[in-house]
Amino acid sequence: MSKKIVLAEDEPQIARLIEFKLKKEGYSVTWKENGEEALKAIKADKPDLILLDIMMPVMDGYEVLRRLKEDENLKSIPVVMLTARAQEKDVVKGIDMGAEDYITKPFHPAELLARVKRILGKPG
Amino acid sequence: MKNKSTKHISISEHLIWLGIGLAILYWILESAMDAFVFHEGTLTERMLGASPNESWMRAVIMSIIIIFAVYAQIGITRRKKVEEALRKQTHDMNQRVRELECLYGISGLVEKRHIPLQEILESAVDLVAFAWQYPEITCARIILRDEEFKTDSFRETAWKQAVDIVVHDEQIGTLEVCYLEERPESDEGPFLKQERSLIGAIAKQLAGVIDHKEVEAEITRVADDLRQIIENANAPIFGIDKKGLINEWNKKTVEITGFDKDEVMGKDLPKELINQDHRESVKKVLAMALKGEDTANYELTLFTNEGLRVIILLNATSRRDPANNIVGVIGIGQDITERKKIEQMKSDFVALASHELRTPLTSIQGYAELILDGDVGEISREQREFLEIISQNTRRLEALINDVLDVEKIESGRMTMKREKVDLSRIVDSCVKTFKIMAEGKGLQLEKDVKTSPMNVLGDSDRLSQVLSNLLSNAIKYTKEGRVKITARIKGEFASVAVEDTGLGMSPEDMKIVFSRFFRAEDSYVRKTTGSGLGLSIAKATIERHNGDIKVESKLGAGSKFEVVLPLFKEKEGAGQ
Repeated sequence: MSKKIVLAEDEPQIARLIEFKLKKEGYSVTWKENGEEALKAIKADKPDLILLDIMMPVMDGYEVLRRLKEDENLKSIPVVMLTARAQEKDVVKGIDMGAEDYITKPFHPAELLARVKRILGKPG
Repeated sequence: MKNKSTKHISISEHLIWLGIGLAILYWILESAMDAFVFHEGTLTERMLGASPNESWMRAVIMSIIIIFAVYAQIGITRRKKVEEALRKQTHDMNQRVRELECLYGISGLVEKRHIPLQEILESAVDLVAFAWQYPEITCARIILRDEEFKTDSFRETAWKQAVDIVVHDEQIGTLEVCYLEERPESDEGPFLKQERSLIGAIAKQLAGVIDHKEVEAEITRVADDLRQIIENANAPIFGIDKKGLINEWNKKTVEITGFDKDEVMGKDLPKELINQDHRESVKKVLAMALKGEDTANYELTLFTNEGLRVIILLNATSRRDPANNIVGVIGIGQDITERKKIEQMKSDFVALASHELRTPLTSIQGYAELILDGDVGEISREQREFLEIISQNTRRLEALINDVLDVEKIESGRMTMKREKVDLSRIVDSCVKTFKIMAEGKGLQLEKDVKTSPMNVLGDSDRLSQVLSNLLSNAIKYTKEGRVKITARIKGEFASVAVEDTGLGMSPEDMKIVFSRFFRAEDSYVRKTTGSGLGLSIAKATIERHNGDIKVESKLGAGSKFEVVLPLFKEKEGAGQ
């Protein structure tokens, strides 16, 4: 059984890129294009890692993060934030709110994979 | 009074003759009485009793009558002299009183404020004429610069007194007094000695009045000018007293706030016009100004009568009375509401644009690297080369976006800097590691000379790393052959890091603008190199935010040396956000 990752990202092309890289490595990836959908999927799937974009429609990354950390069942799941470098302050905010790590866009797919691996170890 | 004294004189002149007349009359009467009335003895004997010598007795009585008359005459003459002296004294006194009244009247004219000088001088000439001993024939004239003030009767005659009116050693006019008719000379000439000194005193008094009034008029004029300037200044100007009550509110303030002067005068500024969120802060600024501490560039947030938000860049300064006591605060502002809006729009735009640019960039770079990494199968040498060009250019574009964002942050004052203990020598080490490949790729030597480690400064390690990277990257970029050397030293209270190259160098003109935005050296070689032209301006702003300095030494064709100087970390400063 491979390790499960929920990816919350509103840009389909970027989501596809991440999904491709992680799936190729052997992880199981569930992609959701807004915060609310992602939160539903997290509650249903109980993933091993969450990749969370900050600027998203319907519900933004912070709100998802806040709700996750309030939920006793979900608060231990590591979260990696995806941010644009424009929001430097936001990185600090994310880490303060309990995010495990962050990746700034644009990123190298290999670097993203390395960070995921650092947290999750081998995919399966 | 005059008639009475004349009568006295005539009686006293005849008194002695009256005495002698009486004595003779007595002799005749005695002789007649003795001859015809009394047969025994004489009148004298009857009055005084028997006496041995009739003739002697008569002589004694006659003498008594004459002595009495003489004595009476002497007494009267003396009284007449005293009266004469008294009369003269009274006259003199009256004269002095009139002179004093004149001087007093003139000085009194000054007391009446808001009376123009012209009116004062018109009244003064009348007062002057009245003070002379023959007021009915006295006329006076004051000539002040090219103006003339005179009594109705004024006519220039031969019996004239004139004196200069002098203010601050400068003759500004003349005072003249003339008699319209000739009068007997007293003292020397037609005028009394006192009158000659009086005219001098009056001229001095007038000089004082004129000076006072002219200064007063000047002050009024200046005050009016200032009031006009304040009222019509194209900047909001308002004042409060010590209690915070509004006492000044110019046109521009009315225009900006929508509140009329009548509406706000006497009202509590912080309480009535500042909303709760800003009230305490405004009170603090006003309290500081009331203590004599000026506040510059305070952003005052007000709400207009229509509830619109207005931001005023305010300079508050204390207002003092002539004794230098603080009596209030005067605020001079600048309406920066529009500017703030535009600044916000600009930074919003930059943030949005860079975010929007980042999304496609992420895709381009990500997919290019995915292919380069071999994730989608084998690629040919040319495919790899071209994909690398795509990748390189996305990185360049990313750097440009980051630089533009940094510049925007510097300009809007939103560039956040951490304040923590940073070891510069470690930053130098890591930068050298990063740039070694780039330098060697160009066949350049990258030398490092760090004598002291650690070399602590207070600041933001990412930002300082960005500065040193920029300097190293520039040095390598602009050097065709030779070496690039980075040196770190402690110089007194400062840490110094210098990056030296054997590259193109700069002309003195270029050195002046090297830290300005979008500076790019004018050289065909440089044209081929990449960069936003923002790096050095960001570096300068960053170092200045660290209370440091960045300098350049260079000669065209002989390389450049950039030196960053930062104050060394002192333990007691501590670290913190």
